[in-house]
Amino acid sequence: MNRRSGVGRVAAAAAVVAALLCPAQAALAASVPATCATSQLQPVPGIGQKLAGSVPVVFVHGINSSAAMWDVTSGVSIAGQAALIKGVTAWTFDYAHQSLEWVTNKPIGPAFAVSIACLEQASGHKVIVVAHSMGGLATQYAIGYPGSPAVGDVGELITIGTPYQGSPLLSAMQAVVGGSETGSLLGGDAGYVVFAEALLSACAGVATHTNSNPCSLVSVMRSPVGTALEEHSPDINGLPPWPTDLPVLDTAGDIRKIQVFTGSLTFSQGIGDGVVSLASASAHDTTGEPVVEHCTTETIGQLVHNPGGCFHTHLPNDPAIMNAVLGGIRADVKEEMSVAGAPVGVPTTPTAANTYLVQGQDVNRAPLHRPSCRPGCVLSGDASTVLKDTSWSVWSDTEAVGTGFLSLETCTPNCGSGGTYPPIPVVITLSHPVHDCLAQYGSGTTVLGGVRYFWTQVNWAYPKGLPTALHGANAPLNPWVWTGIADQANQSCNSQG
Amino acid sequence: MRHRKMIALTASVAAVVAAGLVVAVLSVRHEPASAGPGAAAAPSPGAAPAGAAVAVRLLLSAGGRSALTPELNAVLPAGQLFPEGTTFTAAPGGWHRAGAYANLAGTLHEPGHLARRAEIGLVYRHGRWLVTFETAA
Repeated sequence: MNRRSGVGRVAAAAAVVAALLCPAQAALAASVPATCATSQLQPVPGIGQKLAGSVPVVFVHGINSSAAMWDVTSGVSIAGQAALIKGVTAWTFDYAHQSLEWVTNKPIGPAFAVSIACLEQASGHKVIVVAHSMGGLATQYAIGYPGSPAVGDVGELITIGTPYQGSPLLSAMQAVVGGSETGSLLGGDAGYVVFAEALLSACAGVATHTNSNPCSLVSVMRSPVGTALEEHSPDINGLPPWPTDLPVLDTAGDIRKIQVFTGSLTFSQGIGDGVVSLASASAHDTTGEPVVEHCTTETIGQLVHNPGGCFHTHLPNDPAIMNAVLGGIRADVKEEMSVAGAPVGVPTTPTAANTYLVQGQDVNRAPLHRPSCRPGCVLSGDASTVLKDTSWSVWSDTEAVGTGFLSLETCTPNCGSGGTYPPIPVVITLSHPVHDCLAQYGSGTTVLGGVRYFWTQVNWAYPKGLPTALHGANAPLNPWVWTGIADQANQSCNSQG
Repeated sequence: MRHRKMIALTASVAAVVAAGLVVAVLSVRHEPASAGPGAAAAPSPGAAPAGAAVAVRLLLSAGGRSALTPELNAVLPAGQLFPEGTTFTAAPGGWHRAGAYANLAGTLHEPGHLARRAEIGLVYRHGRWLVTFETAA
């Protein structure tokens, strides 16, 4: 009796603690909450946008992972860049302690549903979800299970390597370790059986608790979710159907060949992103154009010890995938704001994180942030002036100061046809950042996301002097003002009205 | 005196371990495929068990395909895996095992080619080691 009372008191106390830790849940029954932050739902540092009136973007991680995968403190991470998009508040949802459980568990799908509902209610806008791996299936459950508070609250889903149909590799690994007659699998997924056994062998002696390589699947296959994520598993087939009107953009990795034998005879096959097959990761795209990052052959050794950019957990940092995700967010935000007529007047100021060096004075080229300039950063439009081997001591919101080497063409007889002077040691100071709007509103493939500023003035100092031939009137412009960049940036903002 | 005995004992153990490590650096050459599978006896730390060494030796032989798992053998095109005279020298500490699966790192030398670092994957199945992959390391 006492024991039962004790359990009851603990449960009551837990409910109070839960309400304190999870105001989102408590607030749903009350008025619109001022914030939805909980121990699981955390804001990504951004540009000071208030939740009310913003378009919330939630990043949700996958299996055997945590919200730390989004690297929110980095201004160049996908979540960090999303947080800088005008009109957006970015968030991460974390279920790290349950990430080897299936998505129907209360701290995953149901808790995510509460977070989504809270964000939708508090912002007045539908939520954009960016999901990595199993996070996509957590979203599927969150917005569709009977009684979900988040039904209709998601405006767009962008997935990165989500196993919509499960993982054939995981199925093959379970089969061979479980002692199934592998011969019976040869008719179907013979390649995956070979790949699974090769991978299990290669992972001997390799840490399986990190998800930086596919050896983490060894941990996964022993976990409760290890069978749920098998290809076409009953657990996956039992998830609620996707809302028919929900736009979904799938992104995926495509390692076209994995080589398990390098003798005189070879065998290789495509393996998707090394964990999720291409077919599975692109199975629910509604845009008709899933974004796929293709990679060439990797050996089984490379995949385990040094996987490339197409690998499952590397995809969120792959430039093509980042561009696709951020482009999708920006397009959706623009549409959402135009529909709602909501104010998008967010203060925009340069920061150390959002100020860049433009390559070749062309704003359509990918701008650089604290670049090391190896092999070189082209500064002039004709590529005759190149900065090399740079080390930055300052990169603030007002200036960047670094040391390096200046490579100048002799331009004899013409620029582009002659040699270069010996590298000139320089101290370079970049200043006068101007606001560029291309990344905020989008244009073609030039997508970085968010507010960004470009340096428009260079000042030089030459600790060891200049070559004699560059004395006097032949010296590089100092200061060197990049009016072309300022013009292009101004034009990009003016064209937005 | 007691201290001296301890030192002598420690030195003896070290010598035995060192000798074991030297033996562990197995060097296998192309040999007839008649070598039978060895027992999976407890090897020195980081050294391949005798049965695994037999599997590797068999892999490099003319009958190398019988060293492969049936699944790998089925997907590889027909032909001999390695030219005659191919050798594999295991690296010290190159043996790693987790359950039934293992890998062995070392140097592979095919006649007429530069020696290259290689890794061979193995699985212990039905009382013998079988090769699951071979790749450049």
